Amino acid sequence: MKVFEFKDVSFYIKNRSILNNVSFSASRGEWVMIAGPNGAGKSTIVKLSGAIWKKKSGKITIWGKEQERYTPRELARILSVLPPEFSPLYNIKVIDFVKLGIYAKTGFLSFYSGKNQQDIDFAIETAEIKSLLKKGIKELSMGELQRVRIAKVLAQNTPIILLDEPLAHLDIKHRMWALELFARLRASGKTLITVIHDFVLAYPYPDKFVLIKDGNVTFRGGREQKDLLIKAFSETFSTPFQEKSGYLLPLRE
Amino acid sequence: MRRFIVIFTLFFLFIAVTYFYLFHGSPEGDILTLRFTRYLLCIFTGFTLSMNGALLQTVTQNILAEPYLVGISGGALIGYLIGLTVPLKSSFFLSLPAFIFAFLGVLFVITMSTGKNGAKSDLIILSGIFVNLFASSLLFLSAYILNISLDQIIYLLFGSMNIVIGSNELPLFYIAIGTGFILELFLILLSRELDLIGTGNSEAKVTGANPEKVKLIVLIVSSLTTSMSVAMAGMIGFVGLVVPHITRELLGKKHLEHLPFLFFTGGIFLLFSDLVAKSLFTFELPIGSITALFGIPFFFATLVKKRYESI
Repeated sequence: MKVFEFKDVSFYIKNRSILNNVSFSASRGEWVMIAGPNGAGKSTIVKLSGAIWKKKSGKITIWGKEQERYTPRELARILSVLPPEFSPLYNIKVIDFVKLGIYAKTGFLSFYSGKNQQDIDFAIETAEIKSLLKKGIKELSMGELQRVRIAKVLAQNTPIILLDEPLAHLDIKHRMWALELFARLRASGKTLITVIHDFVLAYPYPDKFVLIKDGNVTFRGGREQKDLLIKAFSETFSTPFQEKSGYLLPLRE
Repeated sequence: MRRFIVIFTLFFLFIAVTYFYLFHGSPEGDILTLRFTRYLLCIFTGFTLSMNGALLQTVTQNILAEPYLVGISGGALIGYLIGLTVPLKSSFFLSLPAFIFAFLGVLFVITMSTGKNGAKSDLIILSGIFVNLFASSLLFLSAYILNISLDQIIYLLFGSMNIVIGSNELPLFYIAIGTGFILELFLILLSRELDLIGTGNSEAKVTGANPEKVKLIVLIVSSLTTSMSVAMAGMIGFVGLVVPHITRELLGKKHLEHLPFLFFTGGIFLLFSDLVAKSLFTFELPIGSITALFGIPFFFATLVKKRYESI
């Protein structure tokens, strides 16, 4: 069952085209990785999916319904997003920030009375941020902040999770931790769509790949036709790649 | 525990200032009534300007925003002057054109300073200051035609709590400030949305809030309450900057933690400033000069802090 689908989605700013008829989909319990060179339009896909920006044409279907027909609150109960940029105004405490994740599922009173506490506890536990809870979000290191942001997405506890650069600023231990965490989430039936730059490390994990370059999809599919996939990676990034012991590695001249 | 002590101290200070403001020199009869009206106006102005400052800072993502600096007060003054050209001259009637122009003023400022990536915070302040300058120029130009005295000009530009309300107008006065209070209290119910918007518009949207809607509500309510205070007490700057920042530091960055207590901190600040304005010299100073005296050093301190943070 397709739970997330882009169909011929286009986006442009003034006359500059950012995405051209982009189509891809994700089924329930599937992990789709989006990759492409800088400026390919990856973050735009995330922003359009999360309704941060409005698409110009095409169709975005989420959980069987067109995205525009959801209120922001309804959408946030189905789809959680780690947006590309983060610039908080106030130095609120980590615990308060993570707690905002349950906003869409609670009303004013139930938000402050401890409903959905298990989602928050799960997020804090999983993201290993217990020692940071009393700190302000502006006092954290980049890596700590990234884990805190992932924790908020986890607290939202939605069936579809869309992450832009979730591995950014994380050290290698926490990169592996994050990838294993996403694998566990997929195993529990969640659908993941991740934009990942460090696909050398992430390559073994996803079920499907969507490669984009200059706003066009250059490859879409799984590992069934491995040669095609590797060729597509090489062409999209203008760098020769080979597969070695399950990882995708760039070839040295 | 710290929080409890802070709240208790604020409450105690508020009661003390209130008592002193109303009863020093043991006034009687009419003087007490006059003082009470003036007291209510102080509390109203202090609370609403502080609330509006706090809310505008969040929805414009700009820690320097406040009703005066974003051009709401200037817009209100323009509307007030336009209202004066019509014969019916009650300050409540004047709030209506003031409100319309305050709203137009802030919409203008925000539209002028918004680019592809949202509003530029420095441009908001700059445009707001220019709206204020435009309004004060208009005031000077129209003073002769509209028969506005020099005293009135000073009080409009720098604020004064020296309001005279006839007894037939008192019920209207109570209704007006009551409505203002209720609207501001209603905005406290948006605390969670405001917390989300404070973490960034994208973050707020994907978590389920609607930043544009909240922004519109905040702009309407701040325009309405600020134009009421401008029509009754003139333009008073920097209250909305100083009070929310200090209250946030004292009581917490989450909106529900500090918004309700702006009633006390805003009230204390305005009552205190008015006492200074009234009693420093034999004549009365405009209250805005006192708030600006506190506010402008604070403005620069915040500016410097902001610059350090962005490096």
